[in-house]
Amino acid sequence: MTESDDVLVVGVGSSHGDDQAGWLVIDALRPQKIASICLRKAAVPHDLLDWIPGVHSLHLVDACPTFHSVQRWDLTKTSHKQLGANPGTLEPTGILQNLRSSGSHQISVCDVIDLARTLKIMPTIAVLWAIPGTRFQPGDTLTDSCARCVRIAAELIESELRSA
Amino acid sequence: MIEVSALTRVEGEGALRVTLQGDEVVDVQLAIYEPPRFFEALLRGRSLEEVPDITARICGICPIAYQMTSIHALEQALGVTVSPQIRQLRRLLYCGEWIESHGVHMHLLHIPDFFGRSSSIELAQQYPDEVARGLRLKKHGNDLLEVLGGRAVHPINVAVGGFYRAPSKQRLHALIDDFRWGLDAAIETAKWVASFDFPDFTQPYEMVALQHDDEYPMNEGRIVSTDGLSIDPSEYERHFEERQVGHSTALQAVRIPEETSYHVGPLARVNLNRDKLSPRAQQVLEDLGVSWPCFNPFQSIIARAVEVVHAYEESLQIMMQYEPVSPPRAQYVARPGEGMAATEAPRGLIYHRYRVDEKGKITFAKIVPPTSQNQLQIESDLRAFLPTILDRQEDAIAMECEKLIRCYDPCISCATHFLKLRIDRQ
Repeated sequence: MTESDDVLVVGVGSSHGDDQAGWLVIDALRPQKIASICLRKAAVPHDLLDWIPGVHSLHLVDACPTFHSVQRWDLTKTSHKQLGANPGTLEPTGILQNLRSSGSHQISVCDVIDLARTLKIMPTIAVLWAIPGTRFQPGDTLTDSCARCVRIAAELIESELRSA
Repeated sequence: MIEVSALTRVEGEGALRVTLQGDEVVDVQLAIYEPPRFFEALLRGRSLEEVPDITARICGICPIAYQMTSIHALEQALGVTVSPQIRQLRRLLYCGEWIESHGVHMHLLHIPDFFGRSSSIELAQQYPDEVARGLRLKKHGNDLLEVLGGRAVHPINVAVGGFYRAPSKQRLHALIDDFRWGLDAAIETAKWVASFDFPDFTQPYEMVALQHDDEYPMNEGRIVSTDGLSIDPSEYERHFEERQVGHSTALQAVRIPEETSYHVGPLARVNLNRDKLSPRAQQVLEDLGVSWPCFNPFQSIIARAVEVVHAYEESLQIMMQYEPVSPPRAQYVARPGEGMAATEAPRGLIYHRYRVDEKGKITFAKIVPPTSQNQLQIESDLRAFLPTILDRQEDAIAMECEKLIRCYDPCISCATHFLKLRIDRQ
């Protein structure tokens, strides 16, 4: 990482349709040159485990098909039951299980958060931003509604980081 | 019928359906219900320069294998030859991907099985130092991919002919201390993994992998098997065929004309190429006390662990000798042609074929991932394994079936051009 390790913002996603949302938020934040932050893109949630040791504050951005507006959760204050189901299952009972990156395609965000807590590397501040999306298949383009939410999310995150 | 409706701790979505008549296993179906990916169709009409970038997106965990196999196939079609230095950097790229992918699979997906744990979180509660060690190995793999590939996520620096930009000596040398630590850590991991309790289960596999006269195979070589096959990759489709099956959106590959299953992956590679492992990896293999060749799928994790040792040792050798490559990319002129290539993804043999027109546009693409090649073998394994566990409760049977499937580290979303086990008792 070339930027500071104090604040880490990670966009999780892929190049398919609205699944680009997390990456596009990172692209939108980069020109703002906010001091002391590190911006990263991840294709798989478990890459977070490479970057969070030693980080004080984490903002995680991912697409989600469930909601209709940008959502924000404080991961350090949200209960495990609200965040996700029992580890190792696919029951979509919690917030994290509905994220695009939390399908069975890879190790889920829920498991990554739990593992970080177990290994005592979880940042003191951890915020999840979910961006609503509807199209996620290979070959899909970004929808206009998701593009709008990307801009909104980037502005909200920038505002929060500058006021911190 | 025993049914596992959604496999867990594998990459992708799949289910398992078993039909029993008394204690006899009548049918086993590994049902993949991922939507088909259509990448082969997506590539048609695109320029050949776009192919590595597009194929990298087939898999978030092993993008290099897809990129590089496409590049090798296209270079064959165009008659491109790369320098020895570019060749070495490509092997370094594979080392990075193997370290990363094997590290993830072992520590986050597979090792929990050997301790009766349902997740890496539970494993980390019992073995925090070992899991932390494994995560550090994974990070090293990603760090190397970032230096060579431009970024760890869908690398952008690899191209037909070589690399867009050669990495600086300084950036590669900055990794050496970590990789020296990693080599020792990988050896400790291999020793730990080899100490696990393994079910006594072997199968008379035909194991298939690349083989090279001078090196442990990664991205070049002949395709060989434990049954005596030895062919150039251009002959792949005369000996292997992908077929559709009604119960799965993933294709299944068979040997032709026998129409039999076969096994690809680290166990096949080690079985067929033990003498080409690096010196420390060979020593570790000898010290572990496992009898080779090994046909127990549960011990594939040992093969993975030994390959991580090899990847670290070879990475150090390449990095310490590295001088910046100039030019980083061989030149070529688009011409009509057809090319085939096979390389070794972390999960096993991967094959690509492309046709290119006079303008450098793709007119045909065929991609055969390792997981589709193992599909039929997994079903066959389960058919043989189930009679040994049918006396258990159904949830325990389901769990044991999942464990066997996880030995193959299936990358299910790649295999489609979660495990719910359903058992029908008739």
